[in-house]
Amino acid sequence: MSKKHARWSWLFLTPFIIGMLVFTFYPMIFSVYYAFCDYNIFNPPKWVGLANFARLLPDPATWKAYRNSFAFALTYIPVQIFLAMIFASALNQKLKTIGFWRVIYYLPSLTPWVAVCTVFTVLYNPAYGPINYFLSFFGLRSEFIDSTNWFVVVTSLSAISIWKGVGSQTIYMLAAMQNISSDVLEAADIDGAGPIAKFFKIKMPLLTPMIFLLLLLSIKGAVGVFDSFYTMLGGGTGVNENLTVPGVLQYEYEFVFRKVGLGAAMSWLTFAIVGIITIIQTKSEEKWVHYE
Amino acid sequence: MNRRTKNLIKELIKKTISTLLLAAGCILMILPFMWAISSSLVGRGQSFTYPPQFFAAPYYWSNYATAMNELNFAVYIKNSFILTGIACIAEPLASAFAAFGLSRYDNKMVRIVTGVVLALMVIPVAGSRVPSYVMWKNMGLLDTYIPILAPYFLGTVFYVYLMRQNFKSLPGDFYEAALIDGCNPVYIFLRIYLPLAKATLAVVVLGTFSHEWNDMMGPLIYITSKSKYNLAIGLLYAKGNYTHRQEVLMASSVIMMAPSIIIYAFLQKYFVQGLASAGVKG
Repeated sequence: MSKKHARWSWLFLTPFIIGMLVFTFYPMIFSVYYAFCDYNIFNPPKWVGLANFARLLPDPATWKAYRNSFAFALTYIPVQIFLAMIFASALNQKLKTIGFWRVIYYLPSLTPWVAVCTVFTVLYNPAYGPINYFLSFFGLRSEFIDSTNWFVVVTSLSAISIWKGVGSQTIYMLAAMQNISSDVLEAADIDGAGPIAKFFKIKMPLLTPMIFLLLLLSIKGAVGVFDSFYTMLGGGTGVNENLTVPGVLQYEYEFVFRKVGLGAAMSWLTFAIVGIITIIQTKSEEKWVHYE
Repeated sequence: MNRRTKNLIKELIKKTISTLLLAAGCILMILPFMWAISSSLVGRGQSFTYPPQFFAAPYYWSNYATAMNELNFAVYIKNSFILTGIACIAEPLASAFAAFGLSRYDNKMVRIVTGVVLALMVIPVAGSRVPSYVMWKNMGLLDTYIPILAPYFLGTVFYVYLMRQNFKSLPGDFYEAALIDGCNPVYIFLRIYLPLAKATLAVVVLGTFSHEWNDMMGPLIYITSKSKYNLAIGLLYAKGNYTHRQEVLMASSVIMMAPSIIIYAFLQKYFVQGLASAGVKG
């Protein structure tokens, strides 16, 4: 089609190609170089070989950051996908009020992280916050983000991410559920399948492609998490070494401590880890993801 | 009882349980917002009372004035609207422009760019932010909005992909016919294809709005003068410095959340359509 007009494609694509070269590939290539340099932005970069990696790898701060981001991902992603499936099943009952619920559930996804975190700082306040007030009726209380236990802090932040993200995932999941043809379910009805068997034997396998997609996207997001940790735990100043995540650590190396080499090296370490997870996920795809 | 009534009752029970479940979830979704509004209206120091109060009179609307004047939020709102407004015009046009090129033409370059776009959708983009910072520093453009806004004028991979899917689903006959009538391709893009992609454009506008309205990293890196802060870092720094005036911080948070909610209310009809037509990709 339009072979002789192909030269017009240059006009349409040139700005985008320039954008990709300048804002994606140029920083990527220079990051490789900086990862092997001692560089503080003001003086020219000095080649130091693998010194940055040699400093990062044995540093406990690095591994605490990855530990935190893994704990964050492992508490937030499964719960969020599970809740999204429950809400989507409820929305899939041909309710007349579906439009209303869809709007409400999507709202938290749009609200700015920094505002959400400011509000949750108050909700989580151990002394006079409403969540502890509510828990006190059951004889419970928690220190949430003020806790000395890193796991409590990280899961408190997972809970905010779940609150914020579950709505949009519900909508994607609902779209996938609506694509399941009613023929398959009717056939199962005739064969005498109960609701539980129908859910696990028919709906679940047909939803696996969507679950796979959501997993892929969530893991990328969870490992790169920055806004919530930085706002909740840093508030404009540094984040405690025990509670940091790779995104925050990288930002601090680059723009606070001016150790660009360490920041760049860290970004490639994260890239490698996410890459490995993505490869494992894609390899495992054929084992559990069911395409029609 | 015949089979039909039995089915009806079953259906009714299912719907009731679903509605109750959704209502419970809805309360959880809404409560933090209600809490923010409620505690933005209490008097000085009253946010530190126990048990916590929920919408207890009198209401101190003056907290909003304090946020606007003392915390400089009037300036930050203006800045955020300038940044977000420009981004929301530039990004949809730039992404659609590139996507049109990818969808209506076929040559080696188109195939290469399409491949790169698809690859970048899956592979996490890594790298330091310092190379861009140094580039803008050398151009003497630090502490301006140009480093933050420039990428929006050239298109973003994800939105280019989304728009391309949409343009691909439209018939190519319009293009051929308009060409024979003597229209040039840019005119065809602007007047024929762009209006047909309204729903996907709404998705791009909404996505760009929430991205730029929430943007913390950009201003954190590039903006140093206080008068150029956007709401995100304005609130971030206020959160650190105004811990004793929690009610003012809550008012500031409400101020920052309101525009996202309003714009979503306007665009949500298109938004749902757009997600459906784009094949629902996150």
